[in-house]
Amino acid sequence: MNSPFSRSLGRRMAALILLGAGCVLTLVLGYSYLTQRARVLTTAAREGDALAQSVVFQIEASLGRAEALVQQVALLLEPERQGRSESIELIQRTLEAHPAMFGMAVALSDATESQADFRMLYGFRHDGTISVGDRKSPFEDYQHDWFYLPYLLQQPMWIEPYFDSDAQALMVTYSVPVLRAEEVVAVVTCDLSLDEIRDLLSALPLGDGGQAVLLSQRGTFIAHPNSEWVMRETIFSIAESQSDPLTAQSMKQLGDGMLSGVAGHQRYRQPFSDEMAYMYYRCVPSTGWAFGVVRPEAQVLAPLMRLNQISALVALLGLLLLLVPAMGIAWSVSRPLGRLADAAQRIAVGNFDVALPAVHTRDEVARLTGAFEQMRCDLRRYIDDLTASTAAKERVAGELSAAREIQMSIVPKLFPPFPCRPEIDLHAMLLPALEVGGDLYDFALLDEDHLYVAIGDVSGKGVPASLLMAVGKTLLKSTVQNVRDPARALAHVNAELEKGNDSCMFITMFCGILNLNSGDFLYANAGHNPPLVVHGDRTVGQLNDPPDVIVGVSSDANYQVHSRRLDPGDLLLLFTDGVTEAMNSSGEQFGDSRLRELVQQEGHRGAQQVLECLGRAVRAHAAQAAQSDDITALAVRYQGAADGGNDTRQPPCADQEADASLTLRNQLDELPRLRDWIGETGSRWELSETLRSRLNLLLEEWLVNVISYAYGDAEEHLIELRMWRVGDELRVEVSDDGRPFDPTAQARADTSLPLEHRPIGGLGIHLMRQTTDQFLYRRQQERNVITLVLALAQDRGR
Amino acid sequence: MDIQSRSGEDYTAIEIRGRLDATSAPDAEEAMTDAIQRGVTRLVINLAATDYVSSAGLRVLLATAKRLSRQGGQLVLCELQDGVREVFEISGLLTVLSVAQTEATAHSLVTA
Repeated sequence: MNSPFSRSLGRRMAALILLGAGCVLTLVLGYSYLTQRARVLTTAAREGDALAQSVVFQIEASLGRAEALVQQVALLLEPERQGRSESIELIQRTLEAHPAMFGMAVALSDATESQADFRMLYGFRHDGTISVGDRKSPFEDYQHDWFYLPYLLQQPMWIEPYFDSDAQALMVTYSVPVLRAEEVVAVVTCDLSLDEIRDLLSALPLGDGGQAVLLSQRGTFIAHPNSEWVMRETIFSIAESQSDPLTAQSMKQLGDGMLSGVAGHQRYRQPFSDEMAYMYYRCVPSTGWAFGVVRPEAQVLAPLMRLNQISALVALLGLLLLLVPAMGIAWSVSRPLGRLADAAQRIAVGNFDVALPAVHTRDEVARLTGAFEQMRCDLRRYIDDLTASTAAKERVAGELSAAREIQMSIVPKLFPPFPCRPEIDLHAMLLPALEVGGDLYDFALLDEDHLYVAIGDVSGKGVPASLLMAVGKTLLKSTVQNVRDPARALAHVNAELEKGNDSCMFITMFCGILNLNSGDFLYANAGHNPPLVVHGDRTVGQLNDPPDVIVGVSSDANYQVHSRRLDPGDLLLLFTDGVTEAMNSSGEQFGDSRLRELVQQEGHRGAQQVLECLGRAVRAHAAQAAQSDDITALAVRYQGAADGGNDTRQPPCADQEADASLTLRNQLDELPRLRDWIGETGSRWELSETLRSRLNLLLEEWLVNVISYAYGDAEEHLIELRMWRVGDELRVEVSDDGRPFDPTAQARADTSLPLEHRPIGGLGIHLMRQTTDQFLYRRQQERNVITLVLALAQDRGR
Repeated sequence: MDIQSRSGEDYTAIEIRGRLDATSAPDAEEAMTDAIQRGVTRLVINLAATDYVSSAGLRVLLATAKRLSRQGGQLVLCELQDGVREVFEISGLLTVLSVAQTEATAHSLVTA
């Protein structure tokens, strides 16, 4: 398929056009040739026959004159027998009068004319003279055809030609019997030289390769261009001498046809040449000879061949001329197609600015070009769109990965986080969705007794969500580190985030502080999913206090602090809605009940295993469905206080009645009663002045705190103080029913700071921490209980 | 609590008698603010008769010291009782506040 035609449509078209035209021309030429050939052959046959006929006429005329002459002489001899001299004279005169005659004989019958003075007289020409004499051996001559046949048949006839060796010429003899009383008395003959006829034949205009053939009635060649054959061969002997049986058969049929006495023509194979030839023949009636004109087929058809050659030449010229418009048409079709193909190749490698060839017609090429232009524009637009959308997708993907990096880099990821703290088993997981959701979790040890945990979910997705998540998480942690109060921390974060929050993004947040000594968990919830608590007996509770408003939308939002006591072994599970709202492909959510069921079954395991089970379960639930939101959870198990001595979950002297007690109303003007009580009890117990003064300071500090900040209402509340003496220790317990507040979680004041950087507040709790041997907090029966332990004997005065 | 303010040639002395606690701290703060608003920059707080100072009292003294410091002035405490001194010590305020044994020393400190 690598021919020049397979590569060019134009060449193929031109070739097809020429091939079609060539076929038509060949058909026309072929038909023309066949009809012309038939006509030429007919014409040739007519011409050949006419020629043969005219030759036969001339031969007949020549023979007829000889016949007439001999019959005339025979008539002269018929009435009565002539004597020798009269006969000689007759012969003499006749020959003189007819120069065409070569010789003449008068032969008397031996049977009837035995009395005559001669037997046979024969006159002939010799060197221009005529000599007449007796035949030398008449009795032999009686046996010859020229005498015997007419004698026997009693009718005139032409005898087979023969070669006269005396005259050195081919002769033919006409013999006429002379009848008298029904008996043959003599035979008169005439010898006619065939030279005249042969001259006649050789003068025939037969053209190149044409031949004139004269056969005797036996088929012997009388005249033939090949003189070897004359009188020596017959047409049948020639036929038999042919090696090729077809030629032999052909020759024999020709001989039979020629000697059948009917005019005709025959196509035959010429002996010794293999060329086909036509024989047009006619019978010479008087002698029974056959005359034929031979014309080689090539000669007969020569004009036709010439005509054909001219026709073919003309056809070739026509085809060459046709090549011009064919190439023109093909070029006009293939050139725009070729240019279109070039343009398409350039477009195929991405060059969409290629100008398509201009088209001024309205044909199929124009339509193709139009469609191609349309395709180019569409393709270009499509590629542009695709490029743009791909770039957009990449940008989005980049943003998403940035968002994910922000998110994942901001949350603590080192687990276990507190390897030296056996009372805490904490683990967290954050499985970011494809479009980062902005979940957060956080935890930290605020001091050695307080663990801060938080979880949150930013509304929206992507970079804005992750940025807000980062801000919210950082702000919450730093605020908690300062105020150590979940509700106040949330309020502060809310106030900060609400400022200029034009995009109205918000965060649901849950944060809490776990007192590791008591297991008291103080927490506040800003619209977040209530965490679950899995107890040691596998019951599942929930921190389902009514949640407060989400962070970031309301400037005057209030946040309540709640508390829950965790027993050793309890597991706290914080999670986002990405867990419960994880959907499978049919839209079914993972749901609260599945989560509860799972933690009920698996909650006794380690925090990490619980979260791994949870992650597996959520993923198994979602199966093929794409994760639409971050899946975040934080699990912390409270293992109980590490040091049993610090365990304040039970009152230190629960079984003991207090040695001294006081109940105060939540009014500042109740404080003098505190002083009185300390003074009275101090003197009763013989406490040192220093201790009394210190006790006064501590309790007054705390009570001022409680009275000023613990109550959100204007109602009356009772604050109970109880005091024990246990060994060499003084234990004081203060309980109030105010909002949960763990003073022991508060940050220690940094006393090394210079004046400008010293915070003005926070000194009260600092004083309490500094002046006690133990300072403990627990939440018990909806009351804050602080326990202060001081040494009785030890004088802490400095 | 009783507060007495004495103005010398180049300084003002405020004498606090009784308890400087959450109840009395607002009055003390008012007296300090009055003094500062009168243009006092050199202030000596005489705590000789102060029996008790709570964190609220510390807060007032600390705030006043900061305000004076910002205005280029100075506050000096003097004649602290032992119990009170202990509170100051525990609070770490002895390191940031100027404390003198006697009012005369305080005077020289505040006018230095």
